[in-house]
Amino acid sequence: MSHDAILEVRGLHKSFGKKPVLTGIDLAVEPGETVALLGPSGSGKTTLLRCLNFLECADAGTLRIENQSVDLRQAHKKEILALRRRTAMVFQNYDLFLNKTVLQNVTEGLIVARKAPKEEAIVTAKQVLEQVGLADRLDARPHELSGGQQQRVGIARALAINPAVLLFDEPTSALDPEKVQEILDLIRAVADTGMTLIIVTHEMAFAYEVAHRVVFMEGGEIVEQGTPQQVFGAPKQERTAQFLARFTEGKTPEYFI
Amino acid sequence: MTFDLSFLGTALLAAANKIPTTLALALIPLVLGTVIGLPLALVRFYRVPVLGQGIQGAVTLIKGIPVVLMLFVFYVISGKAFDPFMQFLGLPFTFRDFPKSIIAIAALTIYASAALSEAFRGALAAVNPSQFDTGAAAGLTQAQTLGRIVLPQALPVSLPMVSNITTALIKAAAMASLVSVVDVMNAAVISANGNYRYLEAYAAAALIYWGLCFSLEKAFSVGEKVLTRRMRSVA
Ligand SMILES: Nc1ncnc2c1ncn2[C@@H]1O[C@H](COP(=O)(O)OP(=O)(O)O)[C@@H](O)[C@H]1O
Ligand SMILES: [Mg+2]
Repeated sequence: MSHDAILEVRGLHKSFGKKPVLTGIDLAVEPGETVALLGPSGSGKTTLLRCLNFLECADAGTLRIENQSVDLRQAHKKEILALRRRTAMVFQNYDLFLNKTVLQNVTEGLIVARKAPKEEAIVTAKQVLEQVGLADRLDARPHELSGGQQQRVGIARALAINPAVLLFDEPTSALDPEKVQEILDLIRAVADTGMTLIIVTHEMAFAYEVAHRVVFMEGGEIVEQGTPQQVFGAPKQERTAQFLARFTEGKTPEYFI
Repeated sequence: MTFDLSFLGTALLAAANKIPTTLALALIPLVLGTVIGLPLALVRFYRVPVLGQGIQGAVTLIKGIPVVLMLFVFYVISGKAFDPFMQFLGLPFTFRDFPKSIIAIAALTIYASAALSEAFRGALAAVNPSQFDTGAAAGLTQAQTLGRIVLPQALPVSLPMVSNITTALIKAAAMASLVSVVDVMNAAVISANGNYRYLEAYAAAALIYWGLCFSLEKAFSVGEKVLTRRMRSVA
């Protein structure tokens, strides 16, 4: 459909046992675009991200990232590994390598997965850790860091591999409230560099301000998508309006005019 | 009856001389048991069909048999089979020449493999499953994730169990004296054969076993502390 999309998924289906969780997802993401994925809990947002980097194997559909496409029903191990190395994921619970230092968390994917020379990997890692404000914690272990610092490492680890598409699954949901904004600011800075992002979030103000496009999911399908102004300002679907109303109850956000 | 302290000293010396033998009888099975038990644990952890259930059955079976019984079975089998086998090979050896410690090591290795496979399986299950996802998401292969991320985290978890198994092996190795291997136990007994002061001899053996087990437990607990300090999970 869209030739210049950097990531394109068609007809993605996924069930867990007999339970359908994704029922025909079509999504194309342009280079440099920031897509916010919204939707109630259980709507399949996490499963969609996990299918995009093969942490789950989809039952049907096609996926293309850059110039590599694959039929999801019969993807081979090698194709999966190659496609997966074009993406990076930032997890809700940070999920750092608990047996590695901050620096090693970042270099691991470079040296082991991408066979980068060690010195080069360390230079890259130090650079991204500087970018996320952790240049002074290179030798710390994950358990010595606050949640916010751990998520900074998570973001640095993802940035280091310079992925075609960067996937975020509720990156601020596990954080203390006072740490949320600084991580959101960091993600915004990443978006401003022109990297392509898909971000699952419940931070509506952030989605409104940073995303180029908002995609609303419910019950395993995409219900509605459009610019933040369209989706937040004048949702076409009743389900979207109801979901957004729950988040805006009692507030009079200036961005809904 | 008196307790002869000076003979206790004599018996201690005689028994202490054989500490290397007892250590070999216990630590060789520990190493072999790790080499065998870890793959077994992985097969069960990944729930490999058929093979997984087969291993589980075998482990359950082995855990329900006294090690000393396995030792006797091996002794009888090798006693029957060794001489014909040597004749077949045309070698001038008889069962008398056969080092009986090999029989003890074989029996203990089977026990160690079963026990260690359980310990490793438990430790693998204790690693947060999300660490597998994290490795995969970083582009690591399954084997790389296992070797570089998961096993290094499972190792410290398994150490208390491995420590228990090690001391159990040290104590179980004493049964090698039943097939005439001269280890700490047997050396102590032999030292008393002239004067029948077996109580002193047994006390000497007990002291040495206790010292060995105590030192090994200490070493393991230090190792565990060092390793876990480096990677405490962030619950
Ligand atoms: N591994 C799994 N096994 C079975 N069901 C799952 C699994 N992962 C997710 N689900 C189910 O799939 C549905 C979608 O989950 P998820 O993708 O996590 O939704 P979201 O991220 O939007 O909250 C939920 O009903 C959830 O219970
Ligand atoms: Mg989710």
